[in-house]
Amino acid sequence: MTNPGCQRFEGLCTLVAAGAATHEEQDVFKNHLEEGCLACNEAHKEFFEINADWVNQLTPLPPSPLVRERLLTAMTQEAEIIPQKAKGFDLARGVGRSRYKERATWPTIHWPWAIGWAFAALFGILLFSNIQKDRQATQKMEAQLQSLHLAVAEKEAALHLIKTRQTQVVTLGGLAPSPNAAAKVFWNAQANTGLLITFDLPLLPLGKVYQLWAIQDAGPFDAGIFSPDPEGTSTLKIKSIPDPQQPVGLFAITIESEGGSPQPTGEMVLKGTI
Amino acid sequence: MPADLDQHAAALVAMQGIVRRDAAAFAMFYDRHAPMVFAFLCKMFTNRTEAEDVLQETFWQVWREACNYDSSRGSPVAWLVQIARSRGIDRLRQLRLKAQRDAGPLEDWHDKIQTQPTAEMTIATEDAHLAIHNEMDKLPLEQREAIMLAFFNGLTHQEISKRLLTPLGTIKTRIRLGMQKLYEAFKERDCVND
Repeated sequence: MTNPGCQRFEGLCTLVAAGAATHEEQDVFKNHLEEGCLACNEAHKEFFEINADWVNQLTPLPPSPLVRERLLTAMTQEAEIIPQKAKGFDLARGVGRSRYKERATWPTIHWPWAIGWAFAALFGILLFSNIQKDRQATQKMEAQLQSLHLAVAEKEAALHLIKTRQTQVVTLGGLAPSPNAAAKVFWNAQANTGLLITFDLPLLPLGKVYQLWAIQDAGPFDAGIFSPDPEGTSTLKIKSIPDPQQPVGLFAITIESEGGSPQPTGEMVLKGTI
Repeated sequence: MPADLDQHAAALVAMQGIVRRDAAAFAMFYDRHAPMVFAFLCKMFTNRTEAEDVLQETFWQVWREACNYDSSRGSPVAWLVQIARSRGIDRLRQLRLKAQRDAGPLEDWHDKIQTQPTAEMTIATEDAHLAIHNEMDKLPLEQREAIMLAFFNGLTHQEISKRLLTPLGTIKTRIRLGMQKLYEAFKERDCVND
């Protein structure tokens, strides 16, 4: 019946012809036919002629005239009512009735798919939100890490300054406004750098800061402004002075307006001579 | 056979008209073949309403898809019967699933979807049995039974196997052998007619 290469389709062909094949088997056989197997196409054709022949042998039975009428009505109204893609139109339930029009306006919702897509969308939103949160947390941690790196670098620089042989240590004593206060300056004239550490300095009112002065023969030079913490402690990296070759005679701390002053104008609270 | 040739030629002419969206050609095709297709569907469904629904769907598909008909793959009547049978099998399988959902056991689904046939339907069914049996009488009973269950009741080989409590392979073999015999008989008859 089929050619020798198609033996596995021979049985399938008879199943399809008898109507006993499953949908999957029908698809397999249809694909085989579409591949162009002449023998199977011929056998398939013959089987369907046999089927038609059987049916032709039946005693004809006239259907209700309504079926014909519905079909002809549907055909004449087709262009007006039925979209070209609307295959499988349910004629039994009426032609062009409002039910169909509703369908045309409101497409059928496939709930399993709709629910699936909704879950997928929700999952996507949650995932995106978590990624955003993680990204923000990462950025924050990176900033903290950078800040810690800077702090460590400052501490290392301070330690290096203290350990350097040329560094001089100047003790500043508290004057009348804050006699209990004290400070130490670590000054390296060769490197034109230094460090101030204060103890027990009182907190200042808003708009006021402490300012350190490096006083040479040429006059006082701004060495930096600072505000102590609530315990009166502060650490300040001293600014470079314009002419480090000239010896610094003393360091003094005054109270100045916020932002500092080019020359000392406020009350002196600490002083120390080298 | 000249009558067959006339019928084939008339069906081809009608199909050409249907492809051109000629309603008169469709009406002619319907008037000529609908009673035969309906008799076949009444064999599949003893419920007349179901049979008429499927008949309507079948001819609607002919109208919509006439341009897909390929005369090299068979006669218009074979194409029409193929559509009717596919539609019928689809409907039977839908009804079977519904009956399974509603009532449970698979074995009784076919009886459950049938309503009491009218006297007209009973006669038609008996006629159909006779006609089909004339064609299949030469087949062994078990082969005939398997083919009839597939052809008219829309059962897959798996369902026939369950229904007849027979191994799947045996059912497939019965269908294959029965169909091959019918095929040979058909070819032989064609040769004689030629």
